Amino acid sequence: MTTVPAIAKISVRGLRKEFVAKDKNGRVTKAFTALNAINLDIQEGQFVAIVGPSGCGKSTLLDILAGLSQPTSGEVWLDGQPVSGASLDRGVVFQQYALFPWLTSLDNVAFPLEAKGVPKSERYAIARRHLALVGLNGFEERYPHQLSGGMKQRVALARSLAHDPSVLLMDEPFAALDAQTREMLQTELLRLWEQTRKTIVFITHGIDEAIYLGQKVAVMTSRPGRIKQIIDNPLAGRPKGEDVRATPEFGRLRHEVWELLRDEFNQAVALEREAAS
Amino acid sequence: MPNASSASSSLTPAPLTQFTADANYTWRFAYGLFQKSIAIIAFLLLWELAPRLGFINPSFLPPFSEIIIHGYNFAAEGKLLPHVVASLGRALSGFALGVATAVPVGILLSWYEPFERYFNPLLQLLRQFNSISLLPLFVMFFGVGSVTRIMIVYWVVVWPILLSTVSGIKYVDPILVKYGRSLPLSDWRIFTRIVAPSAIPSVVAGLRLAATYSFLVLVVSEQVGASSGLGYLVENGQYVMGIDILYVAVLMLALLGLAANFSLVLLESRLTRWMPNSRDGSRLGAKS
Repeated sequence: MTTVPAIAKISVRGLRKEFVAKDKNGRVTKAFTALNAINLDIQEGQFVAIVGPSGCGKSTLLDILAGLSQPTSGEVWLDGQPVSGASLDRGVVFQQYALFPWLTSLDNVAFPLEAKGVPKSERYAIARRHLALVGLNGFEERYPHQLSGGMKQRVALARSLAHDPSVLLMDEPFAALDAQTREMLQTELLRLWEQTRKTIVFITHGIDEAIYLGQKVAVMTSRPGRIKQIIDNPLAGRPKGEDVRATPEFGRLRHEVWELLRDEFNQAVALEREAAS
Repeated sequence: MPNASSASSSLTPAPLTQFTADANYTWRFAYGLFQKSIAIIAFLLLWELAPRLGFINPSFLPPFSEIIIHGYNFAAEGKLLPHVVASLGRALSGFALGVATAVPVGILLSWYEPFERYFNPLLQLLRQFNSISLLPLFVMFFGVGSVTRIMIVYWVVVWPILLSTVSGIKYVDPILVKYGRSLPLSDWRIFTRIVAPSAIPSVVAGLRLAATYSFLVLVVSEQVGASSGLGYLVENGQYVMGIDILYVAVLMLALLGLAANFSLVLLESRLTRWMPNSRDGSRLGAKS
């Protein structure tokens, strides 16, 4: 590691998370290590994509970064302060959108502003601005069930940006979308990132997605999840409009990450079989 | 060909298109009304004709028109209203009491895990106690007045409301709670802003079930030892006042049941406007 915790925006040190499964009588039936010895430094304004096989604990890692779950050991530092719980300074975007079905788009985006203590008179103006930012002006009064999957995730993105966190934590946000919508939202996210300069941690199991989005691509091992390698992405910051995915560089990177992940995918499959049998 | 809705919502409709679209709509409305009412009309016609043509003994089943006339006279003499008011008052009191206690208890049960562990077995046992079989006990404890009827209604409405509240709260989408925690919201805020609104559709479904039960047991309870109410009319119409009054009371109960269901459907569609196909949902429910 080249940086010390005080300098990095987010610093993860020796993180370990164990899960213990108990039956209804409280007896321990199963214990496993989800994450082990995770070390990671993320600089202010950086876009880090974390890619790994399913069940490698990447969502667990994101939960810990969000303060939603406590590590068994190790620490997470944010702006030089140890993280002890959730905060409005981190915005979380989930794969399942997590929009309130009984609220309109506008009310959904305004929701965290109430928690932040923004006066009522200003909430809607801020919410409108953020809906426009994600290209959803005109959809303020729609309920989530009246929106497509891509639109729902745009609303969720607007909602996470509305309370102006310095860090965005995204847990496979585009995994449930069709390929075209996903590519559109990826491009959109890069634009928003350049516009807002948030620090973004993006969890994915898609190699292409990780390479397309991440300035740094962190490759994880299968269970117990560790960071196998962090790749500096030479494609980051390429001019837009260029079909980055068609460049030879992209293919080379894709292969590199794939090589790193191949054994992990195989092992993940073996683990799943074992769990199912 | 443009369909009716697109033609009438377009900004500059050609007069002719507008006309045909409206005619189309009127025709469809009339056709829908016909579909809905034809079975009822046939049923009433059968009711009218069967006793008149001697298929059924008219002293068991008077023709429908006679019942309407009797009912009208009975009501005009001011004899019907007190019974309707008595029954409605008891049903509403029991119902209100049920909502006021079952909803908070349901919240406690589903929100505080230890509470459920200790009390759920008892509640599951209590809800199996048949309300009709409890009637003599209720009479013993609460006398032959309104209190007994209210308590019996209370006893049947409390369970569906309680259970629907519990399931509504328990089955809140965990990802919404997780989002709330990520802000983070306090437990109280998570409850009031996330859990409670998610539970509303389930609670309203419980209310509708409870409303159906409440009329059912109310009538039975009013047949035992009461001196007013529609159940009392049914019981006494049989022996004292003549068979017509029995049918008047039965029809009145049906109308009240319809009205109760209709208002709850209205409440449901107001509260669940955000749900996909909420209108279809309530229409389906209204048929049951």
